Formats: sequence, C-alpha cells, structure tokens
Amino acid sequence: MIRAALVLLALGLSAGAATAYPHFQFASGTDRCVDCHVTPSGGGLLTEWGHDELGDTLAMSGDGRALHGAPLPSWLALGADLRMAALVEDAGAEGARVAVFPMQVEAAARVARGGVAAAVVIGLRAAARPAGARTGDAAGGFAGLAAISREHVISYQPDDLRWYVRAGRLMPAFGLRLADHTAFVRQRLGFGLYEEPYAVGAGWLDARTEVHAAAFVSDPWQWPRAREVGATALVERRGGGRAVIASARVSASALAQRAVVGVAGKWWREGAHLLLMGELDGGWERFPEADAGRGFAAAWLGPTWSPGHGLAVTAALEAWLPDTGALASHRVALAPSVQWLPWAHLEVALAARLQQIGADQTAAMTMLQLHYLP
Amino acid sequence: MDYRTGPWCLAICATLTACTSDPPATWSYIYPATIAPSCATATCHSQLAARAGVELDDIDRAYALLVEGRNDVDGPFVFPGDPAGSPLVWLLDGDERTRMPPAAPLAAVERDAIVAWIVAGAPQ
Repeated sequence: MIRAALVLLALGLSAGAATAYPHFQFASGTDRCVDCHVTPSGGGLLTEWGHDELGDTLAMSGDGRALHGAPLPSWLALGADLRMAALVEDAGAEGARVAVFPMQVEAAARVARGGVAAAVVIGLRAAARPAGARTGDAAGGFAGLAAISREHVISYQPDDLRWYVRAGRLMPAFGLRLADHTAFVRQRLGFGLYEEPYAVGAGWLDARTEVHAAAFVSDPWQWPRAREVGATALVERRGGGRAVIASARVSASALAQRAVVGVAGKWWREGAHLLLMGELDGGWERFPEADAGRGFAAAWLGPTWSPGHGLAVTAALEAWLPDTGALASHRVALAPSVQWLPWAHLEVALAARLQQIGADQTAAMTMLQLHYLP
Repeated sequence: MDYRTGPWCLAICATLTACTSDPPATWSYIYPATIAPSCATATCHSQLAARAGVELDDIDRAYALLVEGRNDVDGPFVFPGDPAGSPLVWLLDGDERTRMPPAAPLAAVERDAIVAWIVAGAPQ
C-alpha cells in the first residue's frame, strides 16, 4: 500500500503543468502576453500588472499580489505553483484508474537589473522503477524525488519592452501556447511537458505586432543520443480584440527531419464574453534510416466563455492525424473544461478529455485540479 | 479522359491510394514514428522519468530492452514471430493489465504495424 502510494506520488510529481492561460489575453483587458508575464512570449511569473489583473479582473475575490503582498525588492520576483489533482481515466480491460496526486510542485525566481534578468523554474519530479513492468504492475519500487529545472534563462530587454534576447532552457513560442500540455498541438508537435530545449532567441514587440524566433537543441542530458536541433518562428498580429498568429518549426535529428507550419487565431466578443480560439498546423517528417516519410496535421478549436469574474468555460475540439497516408491513424478529442478562481490565489479546474482513436478505439479521462499560487 | 481531366484523375487516384497505405512494419520506421512520440516522452519512458523502469528514448537501447530483455527481473517484451505471446502487445491491448499508453491508446493501424513487425521476426 505504501509502495503504491509512493509510486502514485512519483507519477504525479512528474506530471506538472504550465501556467499560462492564453484565453485571458483579451478577457483581462490586455492584449500582449508581456503585459501580464515577465516572459515576452508568455507563461510563468507574472508582472505586477498581471498580479493586479489576477485579483481585480480574473478572480472573484482577493488580493492578487505575489506571495500575498510580502515585501520584495524591486529586482526580485518569486512565485510558486502547487497543484493537486484527482484523475479518473479509462485504462482498458483493467477498467477505470483513479489517482490523487500532487500534479505540480514548482517554484520560480527571477532577478533583474538594468534590463538584464536571470530566471529559473525548479520543480520536484520523481521516477518510479517498479519491477515486473511487463505485467503492467505499477506497485513496485520507488527511485526517490529529485529537483529539476525545466527553465533557466538569461535575458536582456530594454525598459520599453520593444525587443529582447534570451538564452537558456526555455520553451520556444509556437501557436496558441496552451497551458494544457496534453493538447495535440503541443504534445505532438515538439512542445511536450519537460521537453524544453536549450535555445537562443530574440523577439520584437509593439502594440499590434510581435515576432519571436529561436534556435534550439534538445536537452543534451535528457536526450543524449537523440539530439535534435532546429528553429522556431512566430509572428502575431492583433487589434480590435482579434489576433492572427503564424508559426513555423523545423528540426532534425539522426532519426527524423521535421517541418511544421501553422496558423492560429483569437477573436474576442466583448458583449458575449466569448473568446474563440483556433490553431491549425500541418507538416512533413522524414525518417532517413527507414527511407520513408509522412505528412501530419494537428488542430485545436474552441470557444471560452467568461460570464463573470472567476469563471471560464471552454469546450475544445482537437484533432491529430499523425500520418496523412493512413487516415485510420486519426485522433479526435473533445476537451471541455471549467475553470473557477474563487480567490486570487486559488484555482479549481475540472477538465475532461474524450478521444476517438481511429475507427474503433476510445479513451476517456476526467481530472479535478486544485491549484494554489502563492 | 481528356488531357485536361486526366492529370486530375491521376492525382486523386494517387492521393486515395496514399491515404490507404499501411505504414512500413520496420523498426527504423516504427521507432521514430510511433514508439518515440507515443512512449518515450519526457514524462513517461524517457531516461528522465523511466516509468516502470522502462527507458525507450534511445533507438538501440529501446530495441535491446524490448527484444532482448532488460535483466533477470524483466524478460523481453517482444518474442519475434509471436505477437500473441509478446508482453508488448498485451500492454498495447490492455490485456488484463493497464493499457499503454494510458488514456491514449495507439490507433489500430499503429498497433497493427508493431504486430506486423513482430510477425516478421522483429528485425532491427
């Protein structure tokens, strides 16, 4: 029993999540990611404005100030994400699998002076190493906990925020930049959880246009023999509650060469409190050792309804076709979710994911998350 | 078929043919096309997470683990020529054990390519 609990703990801690919510881009009254996040392309630590918006606009109540208003010097920003989750998923013949686990235990710190900043995100993760893996028996040994840094970045950005350069371990910008790492447009296109590469990047921003570009190499410690090198680029144009995003990613490793391009859009309907978001990506990959290749496509489409402070309801429809030459390999997912922020430092999220895989496979998952952001 | 419609008909036929082709049942295709993106992700069977003690993030080591077995605790996951007796297939099917990948099983066409590779003797 104790071993099983430790394994669940280990699996949970290695799940993690991102903390950017792109559906708040227009709902919060701000257009640019950099208005609310210290990272120009979004995600992670919030700016002072972002904390104010969290308390004043997004949550139902509470003071959004970081660390509940603890006095910090202006050159220092600190944050954390503590997320518990309860999961029910379809596990095949075994029936439903239920797990309650800490999904995310992360702390972030950033020091900045004169436009130069260094930021790090450190979380706990673990590995379960049960014997008898062939039997599907999860109640085995436990390798222990370890700290991991999924982001560590040095950057320069002038006070007017018009441009930036950065280097380190980071997630290059592509598409909608959804928080849900299980979304096909993230997971299947090279933006999976804990798969942040090492990159050098630069960007340019003004009120209506953003350009982000990066060259990357996959984490050489994590993928010592399957190293991938590549580049990404993203252009976002927005105005009047609308945004159009064009993205591209190319990469190559000894096993595969890939190129993907995509378009994404957002349309905020102020009167209806409705944000329509969509992303469509397509690409080609070649496997040189097999002397074969295939086309692939991914899509995400969904409205988010924000009827009032603290509540957002999303109904996303996703598709993934890994091989355009084998239509039976397609996946379609319906992913409804309800996000409730009763207090500026607390989020409750209920999400489901129903998948149709090919013609005759299905899968279902429901997850309840309790997220504390001190 | 005249000279204007002919190329279009040929193109449509070629596309339909391509859309019904089976993926190659070779390790050099199955690994990068299916095993790596579906199983060897950072949070699952990578060197970093090593869930269930299984690391599949290197093509040669993954083959060795699946076909030759890991140690005296776990034997091979694949018995060449015998898909019905291969634990890898049991896991993909969720046959009296947790189905893999959990919550996102392989499409039948991907699973069938792995079975075809095992039937062919699971060559490297």
